[in-house]
Amino acid sequence: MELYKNTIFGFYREGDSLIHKIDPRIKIILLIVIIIFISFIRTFSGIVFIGLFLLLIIKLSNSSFFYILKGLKPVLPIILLILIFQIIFYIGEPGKILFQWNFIKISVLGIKVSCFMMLKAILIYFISSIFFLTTEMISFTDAMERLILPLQKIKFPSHEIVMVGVIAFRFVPTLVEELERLMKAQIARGADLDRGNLIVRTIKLSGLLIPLFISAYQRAEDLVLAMESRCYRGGEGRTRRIAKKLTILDFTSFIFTVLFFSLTFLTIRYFRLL
Amino acid sequence: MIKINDLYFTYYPESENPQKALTAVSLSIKEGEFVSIIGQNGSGKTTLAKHLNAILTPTKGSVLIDGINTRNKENLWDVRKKVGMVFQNPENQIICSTVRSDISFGPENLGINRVEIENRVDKSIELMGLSKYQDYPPHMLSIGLKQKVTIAGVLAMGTKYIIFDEPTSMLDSLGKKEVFEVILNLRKKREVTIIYITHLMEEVLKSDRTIVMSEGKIVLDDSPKKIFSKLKILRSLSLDVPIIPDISSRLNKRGISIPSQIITTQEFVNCLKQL
Repeated sequence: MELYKNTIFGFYREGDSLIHKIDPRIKIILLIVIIIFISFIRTFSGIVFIGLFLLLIIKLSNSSFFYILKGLKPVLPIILLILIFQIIFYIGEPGKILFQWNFIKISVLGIKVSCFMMLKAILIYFISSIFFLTTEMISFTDAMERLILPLQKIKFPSHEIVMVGVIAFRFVPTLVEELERLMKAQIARGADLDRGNLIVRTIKLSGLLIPLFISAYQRAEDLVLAMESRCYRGGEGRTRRIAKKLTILDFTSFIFTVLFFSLTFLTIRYFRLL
Repeated sequence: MIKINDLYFTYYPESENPQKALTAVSLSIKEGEFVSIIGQNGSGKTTLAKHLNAILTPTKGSVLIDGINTRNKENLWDVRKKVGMVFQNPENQIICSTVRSDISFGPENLGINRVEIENRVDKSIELMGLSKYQDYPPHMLSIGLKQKVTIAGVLAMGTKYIIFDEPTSMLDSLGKKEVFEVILNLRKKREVTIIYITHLMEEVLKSDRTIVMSEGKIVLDDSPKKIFSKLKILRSLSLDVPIIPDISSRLNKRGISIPSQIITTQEFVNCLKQL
């Protein structure tokens, strides 16, 4: 399973920390609240506040700041590219211009706003990483189902959507294994998948996609039979296994986070920092 | 009791080249029986099995499960509650992300209460010896263990009849042995009827009754002992013959007489001692 080891998809780390113990439903709600809050801040002091909060959460979750930072490495080129584009093509009040050539203008404000956006994106990356580091995929999908289940009353197919998610997550390792098998089969017949530039390699890899798709379809067909013979007929009339009850920890963490953010918000407002 | 009356089935009946898969199949299976079905690829074994839990419905004739006709769409769920099915490839039958949640998938679909679901899941986990693995994600298990998970999933539904469609054919030799042992245990411990499709003659020997199929028809239907005394027919159908009947028939040709109903190694050894 060499490929699977390198994928960071849903990289849960087992642990016994406070953050691990919080009910995934509460964690999802808090994650959304925090992300919304992050997208609303407009000052560096706001970023510092959130940054401190995240450091506290990292400490409480027993994970390492540098470990999460390392996860950023693969996407770093993309982030930098976006940053450069944003600086170059910043449209807004120009203010002081540092450099101008044709339509490219680099202004102090442009650099400031773009760096700010990047910091926000990194904060969002950090908070979602902590979430997935401390939440198992299975309890995540489970919590999602419970959260959106009430929407079934307004004919929203919540159960079905979650089921699709569950199956997709379940088949990620299977399909990765399959891909690996296909790659090895090609290599055994003399294919050279590692060499060439990006375009050449993409073309070579596309040859693997067709058999991968075919096998995925066959698997899907088998799966449908297996599900139907186990009496699956959608969410209607289905019971769920015993649900986890919310604990004091869940309530306290919820209240603490909401309080923290409201206070931060009010403080910043009061001192005109936002 | 499962009762099949004069069953015909054709794939793609409306197309230019319809393929007849089953012709005039009639048989009945009593409760508690362990029936094995053998035959070459394309002989109609799987098609027959799929009729038993209403994945397919007859082109002509009828299939009755405890008197319930599978043809009637309204009866679909009643039929599937009674007849569970374990397929060849365990990889494509596991739906959820942990062993425990997958085993509870079936009972959840039946809409029974939560406490009962937990009880059933616990029981089948114990029966399959999966206690150690219940929180594992399926891709961490060996293929033999995966097949045990799928069997546990069917057991937790409390079905009366279980069809196994070549459940050991994709497993390594250790997995084959382990899974088949578990199935034999089921037969001993529970009142469950087993319909077992296989290519492995060693497995057939352990069944109560064997059905031999060829070209969509039932050719032989008897105890394995009697079936394996008809070596000529089996060979004409290009089926494997277990090693003991094979050796016995060769010895018979050379004038050493060994009764045709001897099929196990132990019986064979005892017989040789008496010569």
